[in-house]
Amino acid sequence: MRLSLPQLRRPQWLRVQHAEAIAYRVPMNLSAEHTRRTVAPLNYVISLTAVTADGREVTGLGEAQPRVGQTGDRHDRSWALLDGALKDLVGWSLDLADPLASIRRRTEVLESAAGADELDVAFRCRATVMGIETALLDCAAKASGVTLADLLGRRRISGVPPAPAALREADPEALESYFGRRAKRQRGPVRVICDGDAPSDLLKLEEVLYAWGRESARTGGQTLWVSFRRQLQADEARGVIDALAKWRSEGLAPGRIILQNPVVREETVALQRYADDATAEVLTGLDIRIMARQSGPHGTAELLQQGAGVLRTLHLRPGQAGGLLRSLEQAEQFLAQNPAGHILISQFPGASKITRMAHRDLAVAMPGVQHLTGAADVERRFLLSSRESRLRRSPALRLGMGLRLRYEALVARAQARIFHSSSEIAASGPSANEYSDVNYIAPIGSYAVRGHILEREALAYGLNTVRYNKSAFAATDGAHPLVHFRASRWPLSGVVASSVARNKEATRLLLQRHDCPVPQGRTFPGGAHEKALTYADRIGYPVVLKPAEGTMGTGVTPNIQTRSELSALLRQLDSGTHGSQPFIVEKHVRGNDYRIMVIGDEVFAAVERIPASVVGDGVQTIGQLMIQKNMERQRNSHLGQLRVKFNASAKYMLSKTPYSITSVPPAGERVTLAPTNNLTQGGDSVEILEDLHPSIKEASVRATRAVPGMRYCGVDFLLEDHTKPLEEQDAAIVELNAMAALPVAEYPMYGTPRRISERFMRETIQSYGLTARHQRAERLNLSLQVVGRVRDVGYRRWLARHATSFGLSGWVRAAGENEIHVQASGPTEAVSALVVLAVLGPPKAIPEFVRTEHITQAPPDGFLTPDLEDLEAEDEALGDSTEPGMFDDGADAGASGTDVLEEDTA
Amino acid sequence: MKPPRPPARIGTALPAPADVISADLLDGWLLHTAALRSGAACSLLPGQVLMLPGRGSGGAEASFAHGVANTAGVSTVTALEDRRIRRELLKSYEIPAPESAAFSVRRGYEAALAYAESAGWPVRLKPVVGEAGIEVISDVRGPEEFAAAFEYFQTAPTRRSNFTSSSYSFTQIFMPRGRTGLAKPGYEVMVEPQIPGTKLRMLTVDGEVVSALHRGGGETRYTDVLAEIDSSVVDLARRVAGLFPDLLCVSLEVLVANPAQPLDAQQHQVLEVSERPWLHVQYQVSAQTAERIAGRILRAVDSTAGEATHPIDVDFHWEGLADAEHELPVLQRAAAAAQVHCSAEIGDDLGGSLRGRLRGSADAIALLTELAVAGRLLEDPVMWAETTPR
Repeated sequence: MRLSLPQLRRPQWLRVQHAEAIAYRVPMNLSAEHTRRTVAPLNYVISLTAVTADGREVTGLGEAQPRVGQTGDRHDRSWALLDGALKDLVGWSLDLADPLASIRRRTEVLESAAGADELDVAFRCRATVMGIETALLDCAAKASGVTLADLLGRRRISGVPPAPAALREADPEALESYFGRRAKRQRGPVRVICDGDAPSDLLKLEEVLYAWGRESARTGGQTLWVSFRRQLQADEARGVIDALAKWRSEGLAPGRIILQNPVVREETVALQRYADDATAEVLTGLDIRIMARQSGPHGTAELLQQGAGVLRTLHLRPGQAGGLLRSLEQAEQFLAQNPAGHILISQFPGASKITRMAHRDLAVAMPGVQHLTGAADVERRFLLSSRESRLRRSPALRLGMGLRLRYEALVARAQARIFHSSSEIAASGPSANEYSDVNYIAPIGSYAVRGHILEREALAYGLNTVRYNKSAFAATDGAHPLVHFRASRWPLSGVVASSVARNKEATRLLLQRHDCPVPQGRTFPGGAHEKALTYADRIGYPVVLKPAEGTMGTGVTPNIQTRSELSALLRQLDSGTHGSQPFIVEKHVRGNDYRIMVIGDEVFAAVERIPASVVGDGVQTIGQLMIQKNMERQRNSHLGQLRVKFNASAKYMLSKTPYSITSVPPAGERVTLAPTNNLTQGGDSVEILEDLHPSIKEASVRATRAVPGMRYCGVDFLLEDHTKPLEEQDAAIVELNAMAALPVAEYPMYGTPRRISERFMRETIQSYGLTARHQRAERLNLSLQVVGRVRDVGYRRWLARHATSFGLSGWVRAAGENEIHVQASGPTEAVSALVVLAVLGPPKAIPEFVRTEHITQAPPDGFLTPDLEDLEAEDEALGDSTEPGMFDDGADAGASGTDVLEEDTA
Repeated sequence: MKPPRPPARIGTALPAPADVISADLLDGWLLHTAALRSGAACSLLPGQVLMLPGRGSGGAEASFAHGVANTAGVSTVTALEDRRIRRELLKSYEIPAPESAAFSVRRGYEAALAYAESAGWPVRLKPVVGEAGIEVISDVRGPEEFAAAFEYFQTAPTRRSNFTSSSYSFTQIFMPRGRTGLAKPGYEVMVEPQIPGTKLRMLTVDGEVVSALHRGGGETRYTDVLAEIDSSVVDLARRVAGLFPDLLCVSLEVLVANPAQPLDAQQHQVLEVSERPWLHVQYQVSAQTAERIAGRILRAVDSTAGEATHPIDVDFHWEGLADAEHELPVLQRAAAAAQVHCSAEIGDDLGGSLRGRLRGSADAIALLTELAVAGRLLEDPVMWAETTPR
């Protein structure tokens, strides 16, 4: 049957034009009490845009929930399959006369491309295949003007009831009140979770049944559904069935009982037989159905074969089965053997609306479906998709699944992206720098890079170190006292420099005295709005408003054109987090923003900062371009996680253009997405030292020398043209940063990287007279002593995984109640990154410090864990395992409390 | 339990409004006074930044922040301000420091209480990151007092009235989380079990112990014991100072039963170490000695600094005022009250400045200037205060 409105004409075919996939981490509530997972899973959303024979454009969506061990997916393998599949789909035509057959043929090609192995006998990458299949089905349905359910072959008009939520109450009083609240007429099953410990499970069931019986008039026509978290032994399970039969004959238990996962899959059929025998003797009628755990196509096929004629209920999870069509086939096969059988369809935790909608439509098309489980675990605010059309929103009228993708939700979350198109897309501008250490830096996070690179140089020059947290460490040559470092703080800049630089007004007055160009401006005490407005009138608009002691560019509003705009912003400033604090009003200087980094008397690096922006290519929307930009940024060790975001600033900037997030800007047009140039807000850095005019260099050095004891400075210079002399342009030094982030020079998006951290370390070595190497070592062989809470928290396993993924050789072993020793050997970049990881530790660890020394003992081959016999115990402590290096974003690395203590401008 | 108190208000010998100065501003004031007495031209900037052009080695500029010489590296003082790092440092050089554990102020309460109970009462609570001696809550006995003490730290530092920090210190961790006024995640408290002993405060300048003050059990005042301390105690101070070669001054607080006895015969702990001289304690025992030490500190940086006679006669120029016309009479009244002769006029009004001449004692002029820049004299703070001897 079909419910959709009949279409007058249906196109003969559709052809795929663009194919896109985005991997994202599902936003889940990981701190919910009953959750045991520690890392959110990854999903792939797939979008296929096609054009029909009659010139209409349709976009079909699908989602894959790749889950190692259950769907046969593994990131590197699945992603490669997905990439190849999407590339091949571009230009492919789907025959709309018989879309299901056409799609089936296509998925068969994918299945064989995915290959098989011992574990996944049928085919691997099943979730990925399902995602592609769903997108194709959605496309076909939309093109044909029908819902997805109709395309699959609708069997019922209304939807399938959702599976009941589990009863979590435990004690008798709570149970009483639960059943008291439950409407007397409610007929849905009561679902109980049991732990797989027979005695306590039986006790629990008994309590539930008593409470239920007391509250309901009769439990006769109702269903008890018992889900087992862990499996029972076969004889224990038989004992449970006996007990249930006994309770039924006493009138305590209802007439229908479902036992979900009571035993391992191989025992299911035997247990069902036992249950049928046991219930045959119960006079009041009892139907116990044993539901096996959902499994892959091979596992399910085996089950169906063994259970022909016996098995009466089946749990299908399409992602595990290998797709919607395969699930339909399995359902049909099952019902052919067991016409009165029941089916449960479920999805993996962390399913977005796309997956849920696909399952909903599948349930309506599948015979025998009794229940469908929802997914209540994804954060509500996360809206990956929205209705495509307000008019066509009922289940009868929508086209396909009726959803369109909301790129807003993905911009900040996308971990990887594939995009293939039939259109020619010209590359816009130079390509971003690639860095060889990006995979070592990703797990330590973008904030830790600042502290990491100095330690890397200390170690490279032969010093030993002690690291206290991700920002702070100290270095020694063994003969002199420890020399301290923290982020970009070093001992060669004095306290006065830091103090002066922090006060923008004092800096301005100091620079003026040294003939450095500064913007005309003044600091006002908090709340002095009238004075500020009068002053602005005097110096003339446009002006800039900023907090007097703000950091990281927050609260800075440039280019304010009118008095009323300034007035409104002043009121806003008062109510912000900075509260009624001093603020600065100064003349807006036209110009581009540069960070010029001076050490001593020399300009060591110079970077132009461009506000977060995208450049159109005539094909992709702004949302897609933002994601593409973030993927490019991921290659940058410093900026990788400092993404372009679709936040309030971006919306504000877009509102000033004719575009929205779904617009396609013409090729070559730059769309700015942030009002400030800050790199941490998604801005780009372009290194330009070679072209910097000498007069600008001279002014930067002069500004730095104006501040006592400022041996290092990040000068914020506004310049119209950095290649021209200072006198010939509007220019001003806006700020001096005593703690300017070093990675800005070392990891520019474009241009020549400059190893400023090496210069820092060499100067320190010279000033303190430390004994060190003459040349930087490219390889390190270190021993690490890690002290703190590092036992029984999965530390060794976690560190070993990272060390292995970095390609290091060495070992890790316990050395006492609170201590772990490590040897790590390999490229300098990788080994030094491991030292930062060592002080971070996995989520439950609390390392206090890591002492690192150079050693000469040769390391073993590979990275060993000699004292870890009981690997399971360690894995248990870790919770879900993820493969390090792939999509690692420092999310699973712990952090000792006082790490992010202060501003660090970039 | 000893509740936290704001930085002490120290009485100077001067007439109001120069009669009181906050303990955390006193070092800077004494240095400033010493500089004026030596006839140096001084520039004072916010954060008690004192610049003396031409007075450093080789004719460069000598400068201080809160009385801390500019030789102090930003990362060194940062390490000192993090009590966790300081603890590990002392331990690694075998200098006895209190056993302690750090706990997150937002989630660590249970664990902190368990630690306190197993370590034994009384205990001390202090912020993990912050100035030495600031906001220490000691003599905490029992779970109720502990709960109250712990709760104290849940408000963000900048919202606590007892809080103070230096102008070169951290900022972000001290600011509140959004508008809640609560401390940021990551803000931690340190719990230290207390051992019996009395407090000994010492100050080294260039590695030499120049001040030793002792407060005996049950006493409220400190006494000068510089002449009586055992050589092992002097050694301890020197060893601690030696860990920070770039710090001109190192002040430390040591817990010891009897400072006149050798240390190896008694339990002792280094409780606090700071790059700031914290002369307010010495000042209250003997203002003269404190002033002399300030002069010593100055001469360590500027070997030519002598001692001029009081009173001094200087030109002044104060910049960065929002409304100079309004501030002028305020200055004149304050100067008169402090017995400083002042003749002043408005400088460039758009730039907001006052200029003129001051005659009076160096300490009164220094104090008026310090208060002006700290924003406690005029309605608005002065951004740049230059004082030039005539």
